[in-house]
Amino acid sequence: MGDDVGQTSTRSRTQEPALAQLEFPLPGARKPLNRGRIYFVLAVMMMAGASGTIVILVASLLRPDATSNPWVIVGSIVLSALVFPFAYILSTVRDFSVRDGVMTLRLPVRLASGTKTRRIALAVVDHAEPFVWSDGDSGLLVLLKDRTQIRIWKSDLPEGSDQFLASFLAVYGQTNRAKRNQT
Amino acid sequence: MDSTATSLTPGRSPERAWRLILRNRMKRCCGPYPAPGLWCLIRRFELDPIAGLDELRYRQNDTSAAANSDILQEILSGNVTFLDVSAILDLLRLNDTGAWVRQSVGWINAAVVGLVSAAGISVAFVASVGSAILKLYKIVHERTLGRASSLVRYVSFGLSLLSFGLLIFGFGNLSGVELFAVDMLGVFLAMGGFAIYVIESAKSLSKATDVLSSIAAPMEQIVAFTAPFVGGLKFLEHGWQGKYG
Repeated sequence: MGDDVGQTSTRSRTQEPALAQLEFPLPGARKPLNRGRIYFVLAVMMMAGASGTIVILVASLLRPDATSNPWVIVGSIVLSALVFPFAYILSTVRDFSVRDGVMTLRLPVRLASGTKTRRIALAVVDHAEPFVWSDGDSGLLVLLKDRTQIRIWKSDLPEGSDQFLASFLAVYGQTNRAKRNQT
Repeated sequence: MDSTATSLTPGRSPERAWRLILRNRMKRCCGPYPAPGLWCLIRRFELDPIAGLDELRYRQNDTSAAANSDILQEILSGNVTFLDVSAILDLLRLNDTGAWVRQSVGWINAAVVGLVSAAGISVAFVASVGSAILKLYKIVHERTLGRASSLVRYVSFGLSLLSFGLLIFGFGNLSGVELFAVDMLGVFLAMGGFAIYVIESAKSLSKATDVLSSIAAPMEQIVAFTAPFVGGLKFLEHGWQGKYG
């Protein structure tokens, strides 16, 4: 018993600094390119451009003295309308980060409760395990306490993310699960 | 000979009559842009009149919608020497600078050109929409996995494909503001897709997986990298041709 307490207290002492270090991008490291903001601005501009084009084409289609081929105009409207799903998806992408015990994912995930969110508190993380995908990409499969599965892909993280993944695995790895639950 | 044929033998001098007939014919058939052969015929006839042309008569058959389209529409008749015939044919084959040209290009029926053009545009449209929808499917798949990097690359590729589709539609008979809007959107999508693709594929892991890919990654790169240049050139060409005015 005393050993358990001792072990627990020892693990707690070792995990606390590890949890404190779970920040991404790492403090002091070079700030990565803010892709999320760039993509969002681009997506908004694309939606605006596609909307303007569709308005012009529809107005041309309805004009009685139009000289352009109506089928070409209709086709252009269809292609312009296809911009919207692409732009919408692009606008939902953010940068991965971990700050103050909250993990922000690049894409929103649907929790077991049905709500969609991209911000996950580290406190609800049950455990994580590494995985390798069929195309060579790898990362961490994170299981939340409500059984929701989240994948942190290595290809989604900027260069130099190995240290963060190792730290995350050290804290939330499967082997530490029982010990962490005890604490 | 068709019974409704009309003989056009103007009272003016044969030379002037010929010029008038040919010019009227050009206006009717070719609009403001004369066919090279007929234009050269007039130009060269003005510079170097040929005696044989004076002997010819111009005859036009019934051109109404009810008329049989298989009959000869226009006939030149008259007694000329074989050398005169050769000289007239030579004039029709020469362009303005005196070089030989292939007149057969001008004989293709406008309806055939329209049919081929429509077929090309239809194929391009179906291919563009099909590719875009396939990309949307892959995007949904990647989105389910939660892998943003591949997702964004698919999005950039899809945008480049859409830009190509829009640029192809610029080959249709769009003009003015519509053509400008379609071209602008196409160029913008191409540049956006290019920028996104470069940002996402700059990571070493992406480069490593690209090396392993046999077809998909090179095809994506070709489309994403060439779209802005093709779009830009098309935009400049349309501006140069004054199609936006």
